[in-house]
Amino acid sequence: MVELRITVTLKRTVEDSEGGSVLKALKLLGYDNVKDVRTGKVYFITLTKGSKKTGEEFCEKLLANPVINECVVDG
Amino acid sequence: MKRDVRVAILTMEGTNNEEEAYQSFRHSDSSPEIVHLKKFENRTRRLDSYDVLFFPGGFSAGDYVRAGAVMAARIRAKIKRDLENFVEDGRPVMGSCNGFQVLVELGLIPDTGKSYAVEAALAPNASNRFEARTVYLNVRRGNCLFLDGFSDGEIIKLPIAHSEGRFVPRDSDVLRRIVKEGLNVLTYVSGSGKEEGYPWNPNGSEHNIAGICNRRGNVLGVMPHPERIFSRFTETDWTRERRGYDIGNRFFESAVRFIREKY
Repeated sequence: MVELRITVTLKRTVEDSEGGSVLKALKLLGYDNVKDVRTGKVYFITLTKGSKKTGEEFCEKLLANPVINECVVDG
Repeated sequence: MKRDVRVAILTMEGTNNEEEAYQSFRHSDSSPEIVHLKKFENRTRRLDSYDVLFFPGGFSAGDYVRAGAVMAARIRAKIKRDLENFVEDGRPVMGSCNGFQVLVELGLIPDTGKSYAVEAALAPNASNRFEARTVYLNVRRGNCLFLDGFSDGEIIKLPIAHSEGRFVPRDSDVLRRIVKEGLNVLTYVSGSGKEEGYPWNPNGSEHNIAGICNRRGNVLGVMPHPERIFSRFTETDWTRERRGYDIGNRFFESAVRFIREKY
């Protein structure tokens, strides 16, 4: 079995509106030390066979839009 | 005898505007059919037997991964060539809302590089809200066949309902080509017709872009929902005027007329 952990986030150059809302909420809770929040999705994928390269194919074909997303494969 | 115009309204789990699109095309004197993507995938229907293809709005595949991403990936895997042939043959293809997201994910628009590469994305609204209301739009019709019934500079009203509608181009070159070639056929404006920020631009789209047409003029993606106001009676202020049809019908009738005249 191959366990992959694929993290998809918005590129730094793309405004993360969800992150902005979380930042505002944390500040309202009194955490004045929070400077920035970025959000993303993590996919935990189990393969019967394959490699990190298979995960990179998943990024390319489905999980990420290269215009706005960064896709990092660990496994 | 009038030529029969066959329209495929493509659906899958999660799309939800197919009925409005069906009625819009039916009342535009064409023969629409709601076709599940599976039928094209397993070849029980063939794309080339239709004249017009419409991608309805909704939440295809539950909007999981990214709005439109799953539908686009399935199309790319199974019927990519058929769809490209359809487009290259000059036949009308239109997507509204989720349909726009699918067309962008497929690279069919803006396609400034003519290679169907993904050149843009529809990112989450800058407001981080689901925006559902009426917007004002400026029309620059160019050669876009769906806008044949409009005039340049016309200000129209259409409903929107989306959370991922912020048009983001890949880079400044793509944006420059979109603007230079007039592919940004619909832009969000204020009630007085000026390009301003939120709330007139509901999602933070670059250059207030609400709709993109390809260079050839036969593929249109729009974030608003023309199919929802085909009839005056589904407009929010429908009691003010009692005319039968509204702005939405001009998009559909233009496509049907195009097929009758050209094919």
